[in-house]
Amino acid sequence: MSFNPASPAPSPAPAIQLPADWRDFVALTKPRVMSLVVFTGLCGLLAAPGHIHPVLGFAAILCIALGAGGAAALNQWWEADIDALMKRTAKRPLPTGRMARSDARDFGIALSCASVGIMGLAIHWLAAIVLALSIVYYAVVYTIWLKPRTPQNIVIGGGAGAFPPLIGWIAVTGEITAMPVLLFAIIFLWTPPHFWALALFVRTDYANAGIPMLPVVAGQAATRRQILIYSLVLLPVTLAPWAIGGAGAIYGVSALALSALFVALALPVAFRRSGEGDPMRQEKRLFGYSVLYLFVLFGALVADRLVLA
Amino acid sequence: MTPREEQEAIARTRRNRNRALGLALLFLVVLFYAITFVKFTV
Repeated sequence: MSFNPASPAPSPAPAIQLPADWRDFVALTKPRVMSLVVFTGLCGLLAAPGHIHPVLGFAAILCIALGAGGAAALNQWWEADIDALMKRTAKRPLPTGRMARSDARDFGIALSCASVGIMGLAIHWLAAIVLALSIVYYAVVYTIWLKPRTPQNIVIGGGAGAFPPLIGWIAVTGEITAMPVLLFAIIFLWTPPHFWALALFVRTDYANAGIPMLPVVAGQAATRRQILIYSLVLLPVTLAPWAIGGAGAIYGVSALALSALFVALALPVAFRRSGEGDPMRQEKRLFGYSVLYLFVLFGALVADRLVLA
Repeated sequence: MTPREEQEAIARTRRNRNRALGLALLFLVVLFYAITFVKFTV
């Protein structure tokens, strides 16, 4: 078969635009991020002193999940243009045009309002207020205000992801004490090294989208140094629940071992330089470990509480 | 895709969405019932 440049190539059939599928709405809630949010919220709920009826406990976790989903939908509504520029996010429902932006916005608002309302009516109004604060913090303070403006976006935005264990704890106890604030602080300090490790190996994505992530603005050396600093600060903070008597030896020993390994993996990242085409193995290893780290650390906290009980 | 297949695909997507919404609402009804039961009996 020969190619004749004179004959026009058959034009592809125009792709039809189907209305958004229910799977697109699920994707809008960032289910993978939500799994970590649900896990840390559940750990806060299980580690808190006191008792909550399983049905109310389930409702509290559902509210935390719906709130996180609503905030994620609002995040994607606002960042649809930026998501289209990044390989990692280009296949989301809004950049691909599978869903109208107003649908994502309305879905996000509905989920957020429902989660706060149910939390307040069924569980505790203090928990509902903190949940509302976390949604506003993520959707407005982080997404709209900080992320496009400052390389410290991740540091301050990390607060949004740190709320779930605090909310879970308040759902049981109805008050804010030192322990849930420490759990908040652990996730707050864990977020920067976790995201900066990711940002190091997807740096070009962020640069193309014009997001002032630290590696893009301050360079790799400064980012690597900051990763190590945060890892070092994280270590004593993870030990603090043990030190103040809020957690036992199971948690304490686990926190020490896990955080020491975190620092050990951050060290080679901090002291190396990478050029074009670098596979970034150390950075990817630190990023992968950081996810496991949080799961195991909070799992140890719950195990410790169950053993003590 | 023919116009007929196109219409069927759109109808199928809408039907799936409506089913998902119906299930979500049913789940909320059950949840609210359970929450009310727990709060007023325990």
